[in-house]
Amino acid sequence: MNAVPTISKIDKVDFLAVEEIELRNGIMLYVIDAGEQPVCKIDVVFNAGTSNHENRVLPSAVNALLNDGTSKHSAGQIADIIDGKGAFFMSACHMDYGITTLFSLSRFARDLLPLFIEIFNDAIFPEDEIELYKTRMKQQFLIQVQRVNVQSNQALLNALYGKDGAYGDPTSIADYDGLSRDKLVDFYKANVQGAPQMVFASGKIGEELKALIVQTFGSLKVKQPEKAGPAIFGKVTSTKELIEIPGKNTNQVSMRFGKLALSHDHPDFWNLSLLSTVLGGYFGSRLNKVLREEKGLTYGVHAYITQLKNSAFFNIHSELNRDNRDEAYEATLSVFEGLQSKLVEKEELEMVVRYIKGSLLQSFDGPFAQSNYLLTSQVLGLDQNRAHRYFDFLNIVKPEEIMATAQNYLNENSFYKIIAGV
Amino acid sequence: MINFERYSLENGLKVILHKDETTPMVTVNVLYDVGSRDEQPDKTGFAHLFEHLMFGGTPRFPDYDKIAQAAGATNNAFTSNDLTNYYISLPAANLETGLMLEADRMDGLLFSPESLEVQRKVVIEEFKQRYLNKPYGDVWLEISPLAYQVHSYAWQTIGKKVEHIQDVTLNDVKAFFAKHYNPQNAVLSISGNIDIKTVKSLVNKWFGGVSSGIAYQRKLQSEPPKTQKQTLKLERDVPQNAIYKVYNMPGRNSAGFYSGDLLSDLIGRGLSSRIYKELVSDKRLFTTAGASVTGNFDPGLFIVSGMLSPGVDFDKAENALDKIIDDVKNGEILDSELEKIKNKVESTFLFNNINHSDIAFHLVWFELMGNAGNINKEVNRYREVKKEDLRSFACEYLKDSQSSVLYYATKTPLK
Repeated sequence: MNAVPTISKIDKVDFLAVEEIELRNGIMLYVIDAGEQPVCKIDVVFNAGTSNHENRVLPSAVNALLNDGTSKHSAGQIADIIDGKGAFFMSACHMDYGITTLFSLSRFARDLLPLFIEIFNDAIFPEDEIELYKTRMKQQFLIQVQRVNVQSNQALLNALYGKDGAYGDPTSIADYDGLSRDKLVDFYKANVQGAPQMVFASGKIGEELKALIVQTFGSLKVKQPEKAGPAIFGKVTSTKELIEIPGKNTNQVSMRFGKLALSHDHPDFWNLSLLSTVLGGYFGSRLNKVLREEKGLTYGVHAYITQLKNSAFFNIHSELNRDNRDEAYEATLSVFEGLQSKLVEKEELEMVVRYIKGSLLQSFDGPFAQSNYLLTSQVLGLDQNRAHRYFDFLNIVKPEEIMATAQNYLNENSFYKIIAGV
Repeated sequence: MINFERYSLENGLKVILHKDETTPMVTVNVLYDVGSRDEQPDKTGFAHLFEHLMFGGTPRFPDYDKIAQAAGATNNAFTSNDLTNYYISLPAANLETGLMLEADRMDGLLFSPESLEVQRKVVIEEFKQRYLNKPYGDVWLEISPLAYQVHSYAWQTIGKKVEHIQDVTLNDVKAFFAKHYNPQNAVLSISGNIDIKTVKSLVNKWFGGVSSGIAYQRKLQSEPPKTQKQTLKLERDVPQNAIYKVYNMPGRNSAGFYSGDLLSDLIGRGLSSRIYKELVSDKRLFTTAGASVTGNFDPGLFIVSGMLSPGVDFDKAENALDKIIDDVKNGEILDSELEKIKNKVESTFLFNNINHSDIAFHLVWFELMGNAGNINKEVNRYREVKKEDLRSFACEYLKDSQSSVLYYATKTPLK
């Protein structure tokens, strides 16, 4: 029988080189020129997230409708040109920002750049495209709100931030009716048109394309976005007692524990990150071991921290058979208690640390992955070097710190507890 | 061009190595030539349940995940109609741990009754979470048996029903492992930051001793051509009517597949496609609609589907989709349309082969289909398709009498 190989420690993570360029109009451009395949990706970030407007679905609508017509091209023509070159245009709306992305064969990126800019800088929002969008999104909204995990997520956001807080989710079907062209154009002019915040170019870029990106984005007339969203915290009305959301004909309930997390500059931040991984951040986590691998109550349970620009929250989620909810709830509390009363064994800690390092290494695997990591860091105002800092922390962390963190943060009464589909 | 080296061990295990020095990682990918198509009609969902049991430990290493995680690995697996695939990605320095774990579980499992009991429950929860407790989640459970009345693609990998999962015995599990999980029925690939010579000796060290087993002989019943259109109307508590119309078409490895795949792109992929432009954007009959192919190894399906706009009935919706297909049979296809979808295929291929772990899977997938080297011919096989091929594909396979249609109706229509 072959001897078990020694496992090597990973001491550091290597980055690809990032070139940071401040364009002459002040826009920051980040270039990661690397990769084997002749493809590239350009991301442009705007202050146009769902939290930037009282009607949470309005920024999403603006982002989604950018490629539905400019003063020079109709929606159909835009689609023809982009698809004709085998490229992909995507726009997405996050809580804190909107983003438009062009994926292209490197050899066509030069041809597509002017249209890409036109899409976010010269969109006209035709009435009939808005109508089509509204009909489609109402359908999708009604599908989404049937899902128990969506229901519990919405309830958690509202419990944490208040329905009227920036990260709350007061969305109802009526919000889609409120998407008038005037309102879309107002938001677009204030937050998107002439208001790119940052640009990220990654993949096989090359000097020529880079120069073109610098020139094209650098010559845009830019202004600062005007529209600020609501305050982070609105009126919080929920209590931390169990919140139950009724459902009909559901096979499973969604069980969610949530609370605000520490901000990334808090001294305990890394401890809490590590604790969330030990608790439910990977397949061998305490919760997954008990709820899934020992008791078979769920297909999966996850604990994680969602990092936002001005806040962060901690979230534990699983979907389970309605008859198992009490057993799963009690089991979750006993996992909390275990972490509070007993030190994590050296072997488990070492395993988690190595697992986290391995996953971090994967987040830097290739130019696109690294560009996404950089983008999130820059947009949310996080330290670009946080991976290095996390590595340093992981090299010295002690079981006592994890226990102390569990004692401070894993108390049943400090969580909102939500069960949807009851 | 994706470079690789391929050879076989004495026990029959096929090995493919791909070196990528730009990544700090390495991926060990093991594909087993077994999927839900190899199941019996009264014991469905088994291949997938078995995939869960592969993480239930071996006599030497009772806890697979513990060792994997300690090596900084991320790992997972998936089962399809055609195959079962396992992969583990690790920091390159820990490659040998990955090889050890995969060789060890190819050699034998613990077969613990506890693991079966727990994973049986987990899979039933997965069944509910992904198929039953989700709007439109059961579409494929319902449409596959219409499209396949003989072939084992009639059921999904999760299985026909929860009861089949409940009835599995430990003897079933042992027999399945003996039949399908051995070097003769597997393809191993290793991709990432590797030294070819070192890897070869490590592969031999760990996999060389696994006993070869017996090669599985697949004997599936092929699906006869349909004599008449199959339809099913379901009522569900969903917000909107949806239609799924599928046509049986050639398998992944035949020339016809490439025509069918491109044709599905032409009529139904993306905002510039015919279905989107004519039926969604222009006529507003659907809020979303498109076309695609399943890409199964055995003869698969060509799918057109859409969510109906409020107030549009099923007849009108289906007629409109039929008209799109008639236009391919009788109308003109522009050069620019064909060039567009070929460009899209090329860029999709490149974007899908950036990461070393994706390449690891694609290499074994092509090898299972016949030859890993075809990965480098794939884009050209699409490039060679002509307009006439699309038209003759439509005439031969996209006949109404050969179709199966699911009308997925809402109980409470949206105004």
